Amino acid sequence: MTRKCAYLLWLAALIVIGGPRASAQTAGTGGSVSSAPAAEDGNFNVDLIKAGGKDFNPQERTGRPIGLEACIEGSIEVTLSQLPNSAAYPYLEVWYSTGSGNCQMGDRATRTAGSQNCTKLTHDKESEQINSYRTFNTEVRIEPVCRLNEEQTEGAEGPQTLYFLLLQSKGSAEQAQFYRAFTIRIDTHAPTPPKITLAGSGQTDIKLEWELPVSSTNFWVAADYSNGALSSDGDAGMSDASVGSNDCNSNYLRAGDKFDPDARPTGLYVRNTESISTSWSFDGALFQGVKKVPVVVVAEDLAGNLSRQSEVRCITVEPTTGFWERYKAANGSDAEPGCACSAPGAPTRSRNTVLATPVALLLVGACVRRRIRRRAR
Amino acid sequence: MSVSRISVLASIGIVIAALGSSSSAAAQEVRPGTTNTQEQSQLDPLLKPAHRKIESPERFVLELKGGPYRVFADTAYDVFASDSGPSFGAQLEGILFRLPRVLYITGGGGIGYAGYDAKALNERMEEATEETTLSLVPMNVAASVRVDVLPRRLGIPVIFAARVGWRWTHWDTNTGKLNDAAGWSIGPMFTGQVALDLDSFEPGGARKLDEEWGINHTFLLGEVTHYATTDKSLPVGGTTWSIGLGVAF
Repeated sequence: MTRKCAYLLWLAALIVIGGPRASAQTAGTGGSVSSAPAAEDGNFNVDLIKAGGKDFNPQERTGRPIGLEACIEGSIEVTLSQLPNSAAYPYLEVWYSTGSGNCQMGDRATRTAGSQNCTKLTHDKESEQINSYRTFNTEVRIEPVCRLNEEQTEGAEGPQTLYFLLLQSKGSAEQAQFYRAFTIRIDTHAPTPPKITLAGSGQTDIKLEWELPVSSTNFWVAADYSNGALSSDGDAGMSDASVGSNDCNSNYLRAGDKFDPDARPTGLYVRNTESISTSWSFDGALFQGVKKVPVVVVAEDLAGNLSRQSEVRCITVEPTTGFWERYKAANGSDAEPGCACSAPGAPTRSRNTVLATPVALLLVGACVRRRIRRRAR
Repeated sequence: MSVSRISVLASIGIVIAALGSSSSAAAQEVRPGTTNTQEQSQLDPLLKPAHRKIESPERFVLELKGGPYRVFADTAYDVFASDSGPSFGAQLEGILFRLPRVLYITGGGGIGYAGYDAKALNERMEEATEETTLSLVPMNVAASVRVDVLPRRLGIPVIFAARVGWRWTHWDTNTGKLNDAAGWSIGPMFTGQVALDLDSFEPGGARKLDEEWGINHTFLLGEVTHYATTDKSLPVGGTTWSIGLGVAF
């Protein structure tokens, strides 16, 4: 074979092998194109469905960040769909880059070395075999992503790119021919603690009001009733708050402390509402033998990050008198508006009778009008 | 048969002639292509409200009104001293008798609402953050006489009305989440009303309102009501005033 012929064959081989790569570079989502041979963006989809134990509904999948706690302690669950209809690439690996490179580039050695500095996330198994070609659900431990972010830039947040690679063989050093770059958002910023503006007093409707930080989407209220007892919500009777403890100290609640929503020691009442409401109402009947109840509020953001505890304020459980008591006191103990009036338990004129009377009068009026008209004719 | 045919043809001819003459008359007095209905009404004598032949039938008078409503003033239980309601209400009455361009006699009923709140007191008679509330839903059956001779005959836009009725007020009072008591307060009510007839200021608009919506007259009203509850009722009565808007349709 002449040197010229060998050169032409080498050129033809280069075109055959290099052609699809060139087209993949233009169509890929992998970002910058480098001189290294590029993997093919295989048109499969990656969709986030669960993170930190929380479901991601379709509207939130791209916008909702993953909180630090959920990220470190949990994993994300993703769906791969529209996978290549070929048995040639049955293995999946997920990589994350802390360097400047894209982890779909090059082979295993290239990915882990140099400026690309990629880390394989699916380290529980060497690689995961795809058991269904067209769709595939898998869990990905993203704890290394969070750890790396936490170590490198404390409080870092923002998009992080994961690289899903389809490979021909398990644990091979091959270059991925099909890949998908997938972005998740990790928010490690905890909201600032809420500021309690009102810790109220009363008997059955004791208000607690606060200001929430802008980033919060949710709040927790914790009340320490350990100086007394808690009535169950179902049979909460009236507490004799006048003899309750006046102590406003708490063993559990401290301003600025970390709040653990899963820790529920006896004597701590915790409620969580997925709303940005800035008020809560306690029924004093809930707390037995307590006059002062220390309370804190904790904010939670969209990513599930919890603020530190707010300052501790005390709500006051005490008997109150309203209009009706004052009215009865002024008119004697047995004062009850009699005719057509009632207090609880007192006889009441039938509401139907009261409502029927005006209706009957209207009908009579209509009849009179009709007669007048007939006479006029 | 032939007579009726002739009469039909004659009628059609008269209508066509009348339409022709009216359109030519309008063409003489109203600027061609004007969309100003008020100008059209003023320029065309046939369209002037005073001359209009067709007016939609009047069947009802509706009033929407509101005003301050204080309860229990100067009593030992005047808990809501700093709360004046306000109260809002609607009164719908059917026209029982109409003496054209002089007066109406109407009968019907009304319903309203007023709510009050104040801080409950603790044992030391200090204000707690808990609230005590009172809500009132007054309902009435009443008969009214409404004299509109001044605007209809003399062009003075003032209407006088008087109303006598019986009022049932459902009241409900709570402290915090406790429902303290509820009941009814009953008694007669008397109302004197002065209204400003809006038709007098905008006859063209009034005509248009009648043609398009069937609203014959509109008026701004101010009234004073005295509600005398019976001795055994919760005394939510008194003398109050309110203002509002009324329509006859």
